[in-house]
Amino acid sequence: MGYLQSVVILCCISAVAALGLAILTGYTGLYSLGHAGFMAVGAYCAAWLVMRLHIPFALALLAGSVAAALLSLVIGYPALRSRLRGDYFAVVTLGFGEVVRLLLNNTPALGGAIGLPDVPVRTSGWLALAAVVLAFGLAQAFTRSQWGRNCIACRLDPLTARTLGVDVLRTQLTALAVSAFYAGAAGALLAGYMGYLSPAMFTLARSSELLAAVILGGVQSLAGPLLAALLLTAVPELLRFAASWRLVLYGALLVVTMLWRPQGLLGYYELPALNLPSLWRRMRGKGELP
Amino acid sequence: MRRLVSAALMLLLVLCPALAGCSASNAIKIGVLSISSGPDAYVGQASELALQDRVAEVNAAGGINGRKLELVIYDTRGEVTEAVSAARRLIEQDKVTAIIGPSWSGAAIPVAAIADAAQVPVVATTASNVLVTVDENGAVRPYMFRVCFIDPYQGYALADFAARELGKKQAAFITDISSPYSVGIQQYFGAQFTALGGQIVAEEGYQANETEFRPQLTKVAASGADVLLVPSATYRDIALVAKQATGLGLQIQYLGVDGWMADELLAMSGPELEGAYLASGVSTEAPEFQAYNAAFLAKHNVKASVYAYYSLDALMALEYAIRQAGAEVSGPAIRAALEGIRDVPVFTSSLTIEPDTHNPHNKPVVILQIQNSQWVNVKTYEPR
Repeated sequence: MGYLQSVVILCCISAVAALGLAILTGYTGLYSLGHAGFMAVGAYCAAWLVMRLHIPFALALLAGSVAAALLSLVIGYPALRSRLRGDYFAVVTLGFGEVVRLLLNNTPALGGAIGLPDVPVRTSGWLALAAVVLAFGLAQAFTRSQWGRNCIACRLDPLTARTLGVDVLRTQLTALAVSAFYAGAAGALLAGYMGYLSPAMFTLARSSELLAAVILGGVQSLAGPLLAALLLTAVPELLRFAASWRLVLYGALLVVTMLWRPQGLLGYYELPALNLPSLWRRMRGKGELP
Repeated sequence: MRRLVSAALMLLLVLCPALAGCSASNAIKIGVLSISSGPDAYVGQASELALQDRVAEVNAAGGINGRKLELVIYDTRGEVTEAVSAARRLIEQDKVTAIIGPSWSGAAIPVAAIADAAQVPVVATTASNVLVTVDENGAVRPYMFRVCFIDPYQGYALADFAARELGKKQAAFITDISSPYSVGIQQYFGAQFTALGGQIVAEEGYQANETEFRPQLTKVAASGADVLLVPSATYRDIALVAKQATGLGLQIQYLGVDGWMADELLAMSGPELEGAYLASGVSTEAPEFQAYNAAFLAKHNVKASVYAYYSLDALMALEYAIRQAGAEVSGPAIRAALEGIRDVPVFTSSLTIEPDTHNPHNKPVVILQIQNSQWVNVKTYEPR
């Protein structure tokens, strides 16, 4: 596997996870610091299925994503039912992410701290690119549907949303499950790329990097977080020639961008060229003006 | 929008050197997976300097088989994904002939798979988990080698020393459960210690980057343990354990591992750790290294460390293998030469690689004690 290809794959993996988080944070207004936990669930689930039950990777990827989504409902229901919002919900997810990592560290069947070596390498560059395109298209379809509008309403003002007949709890849970599904898929892709899994790969740092991508990319935008995730993953790799100044440059780049555009790179804005659902409709001959 | 485009263009300009092709010299490139940022940055600091010194020395003497050596050093931040990307970059982009490092098992295991696929030999420095060079079925990973001893051996030697020499009966652990190295040594120590009639009375854990150890220490104190093993390779953790234990009034015999060998540890909590014993493959205090240490300190104003020694061992093993490979400087040829290393003098000792495990053969374990904030040699275990 080439180096360039490996950077592309890493970018794609963060992009998929960031798209999911954009639905939860950028659209629904729920901050999550535990998405690395959902990635870990997807990754370990997929790796275990491929290694022990020898099922095809595509199926394992799907199963890992579904597992992450289901688990998100298990923690999301009690948290969101008690109307935890903003920082409170962030703390719940923070705890969740750490618990997942602790459990993995203490589960000998999943390798404990040593991790799972020799996971079959299945993630190719094309698969990763296809995953991003599919993830982006589905996310656009979601955010443009009634669900997406409900999500925006819940972010702007939950009380008004409720008086207008929006089921806030259901909307938030849906957004959480969708974003966990995305994170699970990203985790499974990571497992198939690294060929090795260990709990140390799913630390709080990864969760916050994803959140940084979404905030840098901009609220209520999908193209923004997508581009930001690509940048945040690619830049440290590209800056490798700068040796020890690399991480300083990386941080400086973040600060400058946030000062320059506090609403995020593409806050409340989508790149028209990336409008996949309308492209799809146009290709099928049902063109409509944007 | 125009501003966005101009910003993107500027970024591209900045990044151009990163994408530029590599020089067309005929030097033999050796990649290094180092750590020069994060809490374990001390590992890479002295190592990088030592490697650069050695390469300059070899090149000044005409290189190997008429070709110069060139180092390509990348920082991994001590993170597994970074190490994997850096290894791929070394192999694909920089086209290195061989790789030195990484220094920890968590990264060495995935790097081994990459090395095998690309047929580029890797010599790990201090990655001591068993699974680095052999897979779960015991089959050797063909392109992965190491120059340090493995965890079981160190765990057994320490347990033996604690039970037989110190006469300890009840052991406690404070283990970094997120580190394979730490968990591995604890397991092997526990097995041997109980086999020798000892008892494990407290098994406390923590995760990397934690700084609060008082709850664990309180339990250790309550357990009545007479010896405390802290198998960590991050001096900050060890120093905080010792400081907080002293604060709680806990007086106990400490046992340490080779990951303790950092002078920063002595600077941070030498007095608290007075009398502690630790195992190591090599000691910076050994008389044969004093001349080197002094010269190193004078030149770089940085102290030489065991990590530097192990990096030099890895580099010298590679030098030998490249020399043996002769005109054909290729992955498979160097791999074969590495596998055939028998009694080759390297920096710390003479090196023999076991062909069936790719581990160094019969590395002695040195037991050191911290006395007056100095490492003092107490006993040497020769493998049986």
